[in-house]
Amino acid sequence: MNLSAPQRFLPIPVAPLCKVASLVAMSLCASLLSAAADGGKGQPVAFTHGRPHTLRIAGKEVIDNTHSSEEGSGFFILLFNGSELLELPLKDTSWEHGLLTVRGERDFPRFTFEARQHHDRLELELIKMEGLPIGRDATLRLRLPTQRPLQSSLLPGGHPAAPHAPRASPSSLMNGKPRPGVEIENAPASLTIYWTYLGDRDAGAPLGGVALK
Amino acid sequence: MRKISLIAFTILACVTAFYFYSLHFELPLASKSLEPAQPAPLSTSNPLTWLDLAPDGGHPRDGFFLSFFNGKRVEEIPLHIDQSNDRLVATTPRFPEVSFEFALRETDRYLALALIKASGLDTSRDCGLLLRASRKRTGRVQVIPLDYMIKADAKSDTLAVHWPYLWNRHPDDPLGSFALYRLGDDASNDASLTSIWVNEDFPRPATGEPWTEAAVGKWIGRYHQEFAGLSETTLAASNADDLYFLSDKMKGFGVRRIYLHTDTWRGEYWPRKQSFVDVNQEVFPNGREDLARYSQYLSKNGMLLRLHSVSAGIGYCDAKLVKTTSVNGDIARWAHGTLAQPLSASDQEIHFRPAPGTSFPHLRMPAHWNFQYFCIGNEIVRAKVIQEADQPVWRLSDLQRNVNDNPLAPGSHPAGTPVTALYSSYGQNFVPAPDSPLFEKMAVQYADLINRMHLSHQHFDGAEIHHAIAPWGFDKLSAIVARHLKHPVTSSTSGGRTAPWNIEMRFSKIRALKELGYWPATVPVLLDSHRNASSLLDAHYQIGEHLLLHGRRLGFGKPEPMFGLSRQAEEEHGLMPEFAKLIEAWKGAIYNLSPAAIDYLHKHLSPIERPLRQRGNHYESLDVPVMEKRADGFYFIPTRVLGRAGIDSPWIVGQEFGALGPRQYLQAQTATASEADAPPQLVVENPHAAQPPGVILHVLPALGQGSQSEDVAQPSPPALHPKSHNRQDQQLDDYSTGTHRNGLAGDLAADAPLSTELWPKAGSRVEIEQKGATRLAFEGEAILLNAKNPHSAPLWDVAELPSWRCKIPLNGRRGLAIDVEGDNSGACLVVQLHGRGVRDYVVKLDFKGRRRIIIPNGEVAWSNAAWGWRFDSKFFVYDGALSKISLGFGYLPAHSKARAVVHGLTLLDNIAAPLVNPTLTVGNATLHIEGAVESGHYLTYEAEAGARVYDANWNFLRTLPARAEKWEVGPGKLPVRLTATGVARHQAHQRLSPGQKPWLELQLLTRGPAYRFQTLEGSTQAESSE
Repeated sequence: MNLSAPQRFLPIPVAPLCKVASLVAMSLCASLLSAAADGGKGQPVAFTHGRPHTLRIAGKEVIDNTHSSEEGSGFFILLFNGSELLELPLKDTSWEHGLLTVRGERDFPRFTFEARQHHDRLELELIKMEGLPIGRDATLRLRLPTQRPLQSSLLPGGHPAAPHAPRASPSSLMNGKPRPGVEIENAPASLTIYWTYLGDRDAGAPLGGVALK
Repeated sequence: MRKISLIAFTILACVTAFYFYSLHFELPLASKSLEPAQPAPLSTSNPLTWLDLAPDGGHPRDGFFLSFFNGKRVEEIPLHIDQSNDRLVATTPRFPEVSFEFALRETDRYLALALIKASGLDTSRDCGLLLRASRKRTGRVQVIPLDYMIKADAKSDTLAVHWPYLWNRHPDDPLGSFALYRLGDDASNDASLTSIWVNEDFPRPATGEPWTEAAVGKWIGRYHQEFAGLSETTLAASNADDLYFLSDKMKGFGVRRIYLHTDTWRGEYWPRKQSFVDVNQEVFPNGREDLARYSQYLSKNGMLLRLHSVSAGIGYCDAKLVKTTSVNGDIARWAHGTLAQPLSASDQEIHFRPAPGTSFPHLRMPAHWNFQYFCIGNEIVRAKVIQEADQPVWRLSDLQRNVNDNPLAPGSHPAGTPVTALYSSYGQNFVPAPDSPLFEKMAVQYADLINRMHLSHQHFDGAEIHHAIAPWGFDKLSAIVARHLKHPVTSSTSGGRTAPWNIEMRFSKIRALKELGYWPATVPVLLDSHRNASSLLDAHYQIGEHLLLHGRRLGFGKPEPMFGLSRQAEEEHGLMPEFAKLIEAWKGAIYNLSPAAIDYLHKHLSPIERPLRQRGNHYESLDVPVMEKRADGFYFIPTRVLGRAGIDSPWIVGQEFGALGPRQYLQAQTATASEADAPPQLVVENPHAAQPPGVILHVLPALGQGSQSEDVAQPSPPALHPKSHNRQDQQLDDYSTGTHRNGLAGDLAADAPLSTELWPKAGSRVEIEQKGATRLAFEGEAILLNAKNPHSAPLWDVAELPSWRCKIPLNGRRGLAIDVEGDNSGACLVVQLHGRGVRDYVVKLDFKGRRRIIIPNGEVAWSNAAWGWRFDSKFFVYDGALSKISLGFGYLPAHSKARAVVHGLTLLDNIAAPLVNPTLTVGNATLHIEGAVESGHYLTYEAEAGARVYDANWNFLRTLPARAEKWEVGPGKLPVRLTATGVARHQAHQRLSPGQKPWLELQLLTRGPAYRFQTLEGSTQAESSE
């Protein structure tokens, strides 16, 4: 079995208006459910100092907390500086109005996610990205240690071949390579999601996300 | 002949390597099918042949590579090399449009390679060129960059040369060149370095004479003469009298170089209003003229001058560059655009329309970069909040207007006004753009300062501020400086290394001068303030520790910012004569320490592995290596402060803090018949043989709550208002950006309530900032705390605790009372007091039920093994005010929950209460001392010296009658009890309550076997233990 190949199931298409409506609804629900920013309490995904401690899918906890503090767990920015690959942890995570915000040092870069709980799956979508250098082949990586293998699929924007997929980098070194999007590495005890080539996304194009079950 | 042999050998090696390569090695899949079957033969030597590599490396990890990031990991594409005489071309079929052309130059001493053309790359920053070779193949070859676009990495297992900045397209910058030379004996290496320095474009000094091999030899000789046996002390002075007084003192102590920090010579730590080369006119009234006169004075007395500098920063209010009609266009900027809407003088939101393609700077941005400064016309505005940075118009808010204090700024700006975003380093300085004329001008200005003031050192603290746009910025700056220097200088950078062009340090004669290393070997001289005055044990530990960091440059120093020895400290520290003797003793040994002596230290000191964040690379130990110079040589005597395993911290050296030793805190009991059989207050362990122990008792104030009767001796009443934020404070804040970031205690409002209770009053609205794992809630007068650590590793929430704001004057109070209902979870409950600095107060929850706990001061946590010292708690002003209180679980064991209820969190008043007629019992040994020791004073006892009393700064005051019974402790666990028969009588006299006894810091000392060590020029006798 190829563990790195995504186990596909039907993604939920999200039209822009629906998206806005669902965003508002999510915000209201989340506000009711959690009176204030509570560090992720009651949320489907939560972190302490950037280390994941909660991943709830269909009402069940699937995070493996015996490994959640291991090196590499949580959000990281990956980038190459010409001589070495840098893995910069993003430790500042917060839930506000039903949205998960992940920040770098001094507030940037800043990523905003929408988490949608369905009866059988959790959808995690990157909906906003600020403060990332354009033209820089930066990747956002999220690694979650899990108690069991998860099934995963890509949301719109995650598929490199999708109509609204981000354009390929103009870099000559990119020629012939897969187009940027979202990649998933599924392992028995961990799930790793890569949002690749974030510095080369077209304005307005979906940034991509995953559905997990 | 040698060259011919080399070529023949090279060809043979190539053929052989190709043969084995074709048999055994596989290229990565992508390249394997694409590479030509047979590379073109090489016509002469090149870096591959020098490194004994096949033309395509010969091994998957050796050779030239094009490296790039594929979104998940870095790929390395082997490059094929074609050579035509002195030209190399590197290509790969995978990216046919990409090629690199190099120029070669080979002499009998070295081979130099310069990248002269890189084709087919776009402006992506995500690719690099790499030459790498395993040391198994290279043999003894060394690499040296010849310009600032190269990063060379010569490790024991790999030699690597990186061209990481291929994306740079500025025509004035080189593309990157380096030289290889074969390592041989010292003479051979020196000859190779000389040849490279003379024949290549490596930065050379501006001597005005031909740069020949003879000139290099002369220069190196002069360098050695200037710096061999260098000792150094940092001085702090606020006027010329003090500076000359201290300089004369240092001459008397045999110190060779005076080091002035920016607080003394420039008057501003980071340039603020002045330029980075301006002079402090309070110390040097005639500016540079007086500084030059001082330098000449030192020179006449056989001394050198070093000035600290934080590289070439530009102050926010620089009169020539910023506070002007037009902010200098050469200051580094990361975004350009316009105002999308007009901005009035009172507006607190800016609508910024960035130019198309504008983005945030590249991400190799450590926390010291600040993106909050925007230039609108000639007004600089700080915007603490940037929103909608993914939209065509950004919203900038939480503004600080006219940061540059520019009277010429109009205040309001019409829509369309140009706006630029400025790089700000540490939130303190702007920097010159690395390709601008200003950049070169500032580098030359610094070289000019060194030349004219005859400084003996080029200092690039804060070198990283020049990496804003270009990661090579500092290397470029220092290269320009190096080309303008006229006399030998040492160098240092914030990275702990010498400047990249300080090639003198590679020559054998200079490399042997360990006194030129980054670390000094400093005796700490610190007066009693927010922490104890430095002691002789501190001095011994710190020098021993610095030896392991290769520190050999002896001197005195204040172990905390701004590091300078002041006249007050020199005159008031009672141990100065002892410190001077220690330095004098070390002078006989430190420059020629035998490896065995260092090995001995390594056996006793080990790298710090404290769970709390430490900075720097320091060592911890249970023993202090006390150094003694005796008639027959030098000795280390391992000296132990007796402690409790798992309870007391070991000795450490804190970064920018100095030595810190273990101690125990206790109060003297009243000696009554009923208490005679009371359990011991402590049980400590002696690892050494039976001997009379030494004693150090530091008498702290008694602690109380509420007002005392008027005739009770009190510390002089402090002002309600904290000290104004003076210039010295400002310099400290500029330096200690951590303190700055943590926020300063605001000035107290005149009607601020005087309160010692630290929890909010019922009914008052206090906003709790919830942070980290702890959740905090106020319930009446109780504070409820809950936390959970679901992880398999312990959770350290060191600075991530819930907090609330307050304005409470400290008035010198240090003690804290706290009632805790514990849960025996093993968690650490931490109270952090934030004012000017931070102090931690820690309670380990190893109990159940309610306990009242007194913590006599914020330094207790430092010697608590469950917590310890941390960089951010190193400084505190007890005379200031609290601005914030944090409370929560700083430590949670793995897979644990913790719950605590806190009551009565209260600051305690200091009450002067002497220790009277103490009796100390350690095991079966008893010591009776007659007399009183005041608060703040030390009482020491040694069998030979008797009982001695010192003031808070270790000035000897008097001896006291002492009677020792069986004064000897054996190895093993020792119960300790301290009583003071005079306490009750004194308390009655002073009308103190029974609980108001002085607190005490106790250190009991025993010594292990002495170890005699030799110097390399000393006796040939083997090192031995007594």
